[in-house]
Amino acid sequence: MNRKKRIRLGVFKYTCCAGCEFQLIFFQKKILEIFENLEIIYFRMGESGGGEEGPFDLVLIDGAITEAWQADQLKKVRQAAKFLLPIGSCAVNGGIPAIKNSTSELEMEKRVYQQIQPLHSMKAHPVDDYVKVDGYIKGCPMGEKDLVEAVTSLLLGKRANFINYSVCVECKLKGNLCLLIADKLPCMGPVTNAGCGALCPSYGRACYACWGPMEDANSRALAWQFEKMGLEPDDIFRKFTQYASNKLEFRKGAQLYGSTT
Amino acid sequence: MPKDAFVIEKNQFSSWLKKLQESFQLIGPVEKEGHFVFSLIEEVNDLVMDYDTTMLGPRKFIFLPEEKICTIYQKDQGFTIKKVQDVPGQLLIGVHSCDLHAILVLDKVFLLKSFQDHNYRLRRENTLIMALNCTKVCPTCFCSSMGTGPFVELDKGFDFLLTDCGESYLIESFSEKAKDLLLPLNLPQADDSLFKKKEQLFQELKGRFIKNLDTTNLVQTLLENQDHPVWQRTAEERCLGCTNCTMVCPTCFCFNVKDKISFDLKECDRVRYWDSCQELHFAEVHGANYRSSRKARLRQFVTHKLATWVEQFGCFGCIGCGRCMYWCPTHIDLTEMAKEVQKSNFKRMREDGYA
Amino acid sequence: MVMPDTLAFKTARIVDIFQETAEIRSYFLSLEEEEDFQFTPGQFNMLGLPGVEEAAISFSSLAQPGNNFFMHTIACVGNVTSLIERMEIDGKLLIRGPFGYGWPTEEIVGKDILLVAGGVGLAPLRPFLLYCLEKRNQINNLYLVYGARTPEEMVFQKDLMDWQKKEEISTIYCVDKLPEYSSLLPNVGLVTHFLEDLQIDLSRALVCMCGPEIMMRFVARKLLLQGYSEKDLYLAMERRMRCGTGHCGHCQIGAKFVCQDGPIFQYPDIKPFADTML
Repeated sequence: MNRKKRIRLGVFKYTCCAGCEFQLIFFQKKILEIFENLEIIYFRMGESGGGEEGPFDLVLIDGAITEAWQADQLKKVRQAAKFLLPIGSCAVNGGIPAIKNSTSELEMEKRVYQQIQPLHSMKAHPVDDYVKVDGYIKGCPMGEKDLVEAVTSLLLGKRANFINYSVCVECKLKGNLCLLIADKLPCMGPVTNAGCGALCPSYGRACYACWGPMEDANSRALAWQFEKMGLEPDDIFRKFTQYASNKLEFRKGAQLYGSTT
Repeated sequence: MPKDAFVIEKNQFSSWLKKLQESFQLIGPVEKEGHFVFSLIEEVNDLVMDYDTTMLGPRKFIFLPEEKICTIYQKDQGFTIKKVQDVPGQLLIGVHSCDLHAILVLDKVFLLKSFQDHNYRLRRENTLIMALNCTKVCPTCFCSSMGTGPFVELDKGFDFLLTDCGESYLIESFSEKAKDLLLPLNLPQADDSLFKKKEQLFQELKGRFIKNLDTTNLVQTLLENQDHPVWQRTAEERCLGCTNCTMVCPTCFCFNVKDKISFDLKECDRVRYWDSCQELHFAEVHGANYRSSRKARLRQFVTHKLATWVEQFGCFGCIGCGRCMYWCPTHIDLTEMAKEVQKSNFKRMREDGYA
Repeated sequence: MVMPDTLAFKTARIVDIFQETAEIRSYFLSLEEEEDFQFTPGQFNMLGLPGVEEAAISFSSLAQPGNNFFMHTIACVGNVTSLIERMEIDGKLLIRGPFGYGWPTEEIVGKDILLVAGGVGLAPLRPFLLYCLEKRNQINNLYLVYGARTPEEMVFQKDLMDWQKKEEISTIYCVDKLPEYSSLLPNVGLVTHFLEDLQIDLSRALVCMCGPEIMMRFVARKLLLQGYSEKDLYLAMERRMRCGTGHCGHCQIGAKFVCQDGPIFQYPDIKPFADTML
């Protein structure tokens, strides 16, 4: 199988810290082969110019959608793209921008800005609330394993099998002692999607769910357990709204301890 | 009957291990952050022989958490396959009775059915096991109920058996290899009084179990109650679906396979890693997921360990080590679930006209 | 006794490809290294390619003595199958097998045999049907009830037409939607509607079914209501498999490993366990 055709890539950035794009550029150093197989059509952080119109083989979307123009552009990009993948927690779950979703928009704007008249912000939503997506490259910033899987899958022409089990699996495969049990730390690992290689738990820090929820996670049970462990309701609420307040899996946990509106 | 039984002073035991270190990788329990783990021994003095229990059993050195099955090279004329060939000889030290039984259960899974697993066979053939009779009872273990402990009562499938007798160990050998290794030491034979002491320790320990499980009719009771409310309730209120129970279980054998292919698509590592029936996608095929609810997955775990395993392999899949409940974030107790089913056997009650 | 190793890979070459339906193709394969490759109807191979792991696919042909040819009929829905879909003649596949326990070929003598298939489920049944036709003089009546969504989605159309003409086998074909034109002239309705009025003596009946699990559920229930005995029903189960050798644990239904104890099961063996649609 010798495919000379390179993948036409577009990268679009919306509301986020752009860390995922840096991660993409960083991969270039690490895994040059990825970029050998890519032809960059639109990637503002990596290359100036480029057309938004496409057509693209692969579009990576970075960041949550918080303004109307973003949603409009996103829909156009979707039509020009063969595959569209949200990258990183903001695009996949709403991420950090979605923390504001549990407060009213006006109150939030007043808290941050003195002049709120020019603002056109709306609640932060993940990409898949607006368009159909072909998978998720989760992570904060996005995970290397999943990105490699996405690229090799495109090259092979198969569906990507992204990691979809809990952080606990990676922790156990590594042989880490369980922080929840051994150190009584409020670790979000059991309900969080893996892929990071259990990074924080490996250094003795409790997982804080930056990859967002694992599919079918039972957040309520974990929230109850945190309560039993003596956590304050506010803390539990924040744990479940920090990275993915939009996602149903985490809302179920958060709703017990505060209003997610 | 004791085969070859000797007495070895603890100092001598240590120096013997140091000698064995030249020809084997020594693996045993060491302390880590207030708990114990099985790990590769660099310094023999690091060994903690009076450990209580570990998070992961010694299975992780025979059935690795993640290992390469083979490498496939794609060539124009076909494929070349490179399998795993060389594995180092290893000696597992201080394997408690439950973990020894667990390894023997895995032997049944991987070696004694119609196909032998390539990687497992390689590692198992290159592994010597030095079992150790327990000296204490953990609050979550119930090996005496499952017939797997606290003392080893088997006479094959492992190599050495140690019993802690204070200043010295009673060491018994159960394989030719073990005999050969003990021979150069010229150890004094153990006498009857030592075996009497061993028996006394055993009886004493047996009386100290806090947790227990009545296994009479358990298989039938569980299979008759696959729709028992305890599964739904526990799955909803407590089970996180995090897979910790199956990851720490020393008899869990399920694995998943993943190909890691190079970017030129010419070289592919086929890797396998521990998989878990608690994971949502475990029983998924195109168009259907046969265990899509957490309830079904939880029930699968319990009924497999305590019921269907018996039909598959002729023994229980649970060896009573208590790891699943200790390392479960919400401490779901499989014996409690089994007991609840036993107490309220809905199938029976319906038949008798009570429910 | 030396038991077979789990990593006995074989290379198979695609000899011919036949387009059955829009999504389903039949692949004629031959082994590269072995001259003789024997398997029984209902068994399966693990078909693999580097990068996409493996998938379990049943044989859709009957083994020929002294021959290394075999056929797989594949619906291109998963990763392995869609990659195979893009391969051409002389392409190479990695296979392991044969695995599993096939259709009850020893049970057929003197029986009234009813074969029920749905969609691509005819593929695993085809070798058994061919086997029955070979041993036709040993069996009493032979029926095939085959259902698909549309006539275009029926596999082995040439075979179906042959069988329709044959006196040795009575066929009933049915589809969900009435076609404008079809050479097979199928009935309209679900397979369960066509299980009555068959010349089957319940005391010597043997039913083999393969298709979507939901279809087998209703076929089995209907037949049981008609008085068939549970032990005369054989079903082909489909589960996720990663090894085919009874180790990976994925295909378990209760105490049964589908890869080793199945994929063909007698109804009472599989009925007591949850997590099926039966």
